[in-house]
Amino acid sequence: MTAPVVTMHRLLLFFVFLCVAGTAGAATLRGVTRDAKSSQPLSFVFVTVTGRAAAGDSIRTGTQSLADGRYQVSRLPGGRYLVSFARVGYLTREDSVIVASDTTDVSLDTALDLTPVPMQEVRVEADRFAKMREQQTGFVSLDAKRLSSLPGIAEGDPIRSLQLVPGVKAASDFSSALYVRGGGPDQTLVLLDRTTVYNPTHAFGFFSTFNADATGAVNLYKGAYPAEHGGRLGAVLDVRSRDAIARQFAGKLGISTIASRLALEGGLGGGSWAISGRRTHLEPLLGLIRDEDTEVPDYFFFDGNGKLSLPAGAGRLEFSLYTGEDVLDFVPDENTYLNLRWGNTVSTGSFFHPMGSTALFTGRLSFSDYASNTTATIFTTPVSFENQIRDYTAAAEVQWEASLRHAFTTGIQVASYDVAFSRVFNNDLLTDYRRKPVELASFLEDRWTPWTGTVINPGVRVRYINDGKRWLTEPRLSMAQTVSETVRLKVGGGIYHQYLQLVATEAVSAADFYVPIDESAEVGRSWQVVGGLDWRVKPAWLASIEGYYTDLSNLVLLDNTSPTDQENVTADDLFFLGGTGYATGVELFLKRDVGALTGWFGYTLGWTRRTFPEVNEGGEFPPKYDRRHDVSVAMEYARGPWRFTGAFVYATGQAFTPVSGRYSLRNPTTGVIPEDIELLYDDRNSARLLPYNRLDLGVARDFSMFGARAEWSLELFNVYNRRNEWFVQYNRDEVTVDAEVAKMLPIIPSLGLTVWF
Amino acid sequence: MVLKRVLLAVLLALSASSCSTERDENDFFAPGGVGIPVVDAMLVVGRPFSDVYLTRTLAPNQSFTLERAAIRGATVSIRDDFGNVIGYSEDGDIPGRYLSMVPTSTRVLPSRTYRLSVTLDDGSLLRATTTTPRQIDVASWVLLDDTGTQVLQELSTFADHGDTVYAEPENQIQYPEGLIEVRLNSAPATGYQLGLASLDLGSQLLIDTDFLDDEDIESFTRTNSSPPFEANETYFRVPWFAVYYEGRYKLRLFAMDRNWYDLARTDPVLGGGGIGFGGEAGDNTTRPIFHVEGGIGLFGSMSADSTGFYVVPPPN
Repeated sequence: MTAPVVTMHRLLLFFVFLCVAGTAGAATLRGVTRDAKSSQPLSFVFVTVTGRAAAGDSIRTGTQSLADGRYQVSRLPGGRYLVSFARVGYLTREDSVIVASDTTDVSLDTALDLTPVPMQEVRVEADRFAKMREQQTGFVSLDAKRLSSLPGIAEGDPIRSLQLVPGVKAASDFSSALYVRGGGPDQTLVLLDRTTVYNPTHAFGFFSTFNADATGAVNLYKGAYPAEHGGRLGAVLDVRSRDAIARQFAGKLGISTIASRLALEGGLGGGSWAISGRRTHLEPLLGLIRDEDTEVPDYFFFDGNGKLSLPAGAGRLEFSLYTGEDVLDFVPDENTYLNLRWGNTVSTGSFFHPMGSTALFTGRLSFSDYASNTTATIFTTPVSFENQIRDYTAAAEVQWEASLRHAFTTGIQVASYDVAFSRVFNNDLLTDYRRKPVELASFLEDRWTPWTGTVINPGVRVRYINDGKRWLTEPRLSMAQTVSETVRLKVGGGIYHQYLQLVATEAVSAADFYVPIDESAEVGRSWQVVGGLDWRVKPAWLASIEGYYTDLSNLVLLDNTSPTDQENVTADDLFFLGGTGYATGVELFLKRDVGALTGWFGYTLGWTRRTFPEVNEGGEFPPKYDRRHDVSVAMEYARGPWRFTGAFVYATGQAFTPVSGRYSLRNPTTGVIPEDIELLYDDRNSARLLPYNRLDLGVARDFSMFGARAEWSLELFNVYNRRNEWFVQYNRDEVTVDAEVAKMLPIIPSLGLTVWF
Repeated sequence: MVLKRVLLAVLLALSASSCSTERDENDFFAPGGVGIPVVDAMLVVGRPFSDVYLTRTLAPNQSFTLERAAIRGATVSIRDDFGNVIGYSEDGDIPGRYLSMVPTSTRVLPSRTYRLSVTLDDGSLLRATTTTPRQIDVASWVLLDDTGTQVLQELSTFADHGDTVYAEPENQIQYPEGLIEVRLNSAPATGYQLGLASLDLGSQLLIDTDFLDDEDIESFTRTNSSPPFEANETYFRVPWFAVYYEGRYKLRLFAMDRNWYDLARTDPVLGGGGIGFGGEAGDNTTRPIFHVEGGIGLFGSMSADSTGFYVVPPPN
């Protein structure tokens, strides 16, 4: 019986030797990559280390900078190396570094310059292999400044601009909500500095809560997202607030047709701070419209962001805060008024600290609060609705470079939710709902490089929800294979669950509320498969094609026919349950990312379907936002002080439910046939509106204003004034049924002025 | 060269502006919804068997008349669980209307199941079943203070004073003071609905209409009904926004059977259809629940009670 024991001991010693050998005399190269002009951290910079160790071994390894610009390459034996920093849109930079054999840490920060404009030719000297090592399918990372520069309506909005990315759709001109790969906004997790934002909209959904001045990187996982995220069936929007690196005081003041903005930043005790805020100023305009015969509500929104970053020993502390609110008051009469208030507060405190030379610890405490409060009096009858969700989360994460081939990331997260909503009608409390579930989640993933050119990323996320005592296991897998210097294949997939269900209302985002899926229903579930190919056609051109399939089950749909005074508010009472569905499609993307003219062309071919036993008599139907074809073009041309932008969108018309007949029934309470016509509807969403198309143009020019840099801008939304169809309204109060189409926005010009100081 | 390409792209996009978004109204209607049989029948507990209307659905662009929509020549009967059959005959004066052939002394009974059977002249069948609710059991009709905690007045009923109830002192209510409430001893029905009717045509409008236009004012009706309630608390309150005029009001409370309750909560005309939250704009078009086999409509039952009061205008 001793032989197996001895064998085990030898194996253990061998394993320990391997680990020790791997670490003996090995240093960690770490640093931060930044944009040379703005000093903002640069994410997803490919860091390649090549050279020869003192022992004579040829070394070739690398990594990618994180969302906050940090990178780390571990286990470098002593020697002389060339470190290459490459990212599309930037000039590649190379630095030499010498690692002494007794060194454990080498620090190397770098700043990359944008590719100068205009350019007659692009010389990309970086290793194309390194540039295309990104393995995540359906992933888009865009700079907020770039997104906000695209023409829109008055305020540059990085999230509205994401609607121009293939696979991402908008429901209407009035909504900034994202419909990603056949899923609704309820299936997309929205994060600000890793903390959930539960209602990221202003102005009834017209704008997002993300102020372009305060937003840094905007990262969108369109599907098959990795194990570090969870909680939604479809996609993840990971927004990072802008990091202030400037050591001296600087500011930016902007004014547009609808709002004013101010952003300030500076240095503090080896760290930095940044604050920004904005507020609409529509009151004078609304006042002009208001007169004795025309009642117009008072409306404004404001929001503010703050970020503080301080060194803490070998690590760093970061605090970020967002708060914002929309306020609407409508008082046509002393006995009839309406007051709406809704908003978010999101705060995150993070602590980063290296653990030895091969690991990094991140601790995080966060708080997110969304509340909506409606009070009204209708001819002296009081009505009120309130809803709120609070999220208290504590998380810890460790990234460990275990070897040259394995880099593990693991984490644990505890979230406590407080969900409440109430309805009062005529001084009578109709609904008083409150629930406080707790969720525990843990994940583990490995970035495994078995051989050069192949990256495999297996992962798993395990969740426990005390509401219903549910254990949810969510495996994830992605893989990237470099086929040649210019071509890379990617596949990915996973299983996802959704416990918190958002009930969203298009164009009335103040009414959005969350409902936890309690024991009366199954938690929503999806599995996704994505596969694609990236091809660097030319140095300045990147093409990609990606196909996806998502299978959905345990879907819910709000049951609007629940009685007004329904007391029980379980998921079974509020929703139609047991829905299933699928979404599938192909996306083509052609992007030019260097040169005077940059931009992209995107095309999506897609299908989405849903089935609910109690809806549409159990028949399959497309959701309203199912669109067969979707084309988007975004362009920016910069020349000297001038900047021209344009965006064009074309999409198949959205689905609607047509009327097929009319009938009459007496009202049982009066015995009389009502004046309003009874309509008989056809199969749900069996007809189509006209195709949607729109062109936006913008122009901006830099100039000097009292010695300070300034920029004026002019934007035209919907240049050729096409009144796209939004939805069909059937009027019941005529002798015959009358169909009226609500139209979307007409041409809207907007002016803006920004000053830097 | 690049700029020329950009300009060309812009011009091509602008040329798309020649595509108009104006359409023929018929583009928004679908075929297949015409000619479907519609049942309209409501049994009232304690009352004689009421008439049954049979019509068909029409095209959306057709105006509704009984002459155009009526189903003629159908065989109609109602059968209860005890084998009793109530036959119906076609009304010669009003097309589509069928009248009960049993004496008026034969009443609809509470907690009884009745089955409607209709055979159309083409041989197709319509079937529906209702189980009548128990007789409604009102404890009192009261006027509460604004907080809803203190009873200010208890209203008299028709049983107490007949049609003179409107003149009784305790039935005088000043607009818009207090909360009018109906209290039940028990609430066993599937659902309830309130109906309020202003009886004095031409009486003074009480609400302030300065901010309303003429079209809004013309849309005010003298009869209103509430959305359906579950009655979890065995009381109902009448909101003052249902009261527009001075004068006499008849307030009725209905106990609904399952068929009527399901139709009322899913039909926007009869009180349901939701408040439009939760979904895409224009996408709240759930087909009502009919509980009719072979067609659509309502074969339902109710029990009811009522009282009357007089709304006095506020002092100037």
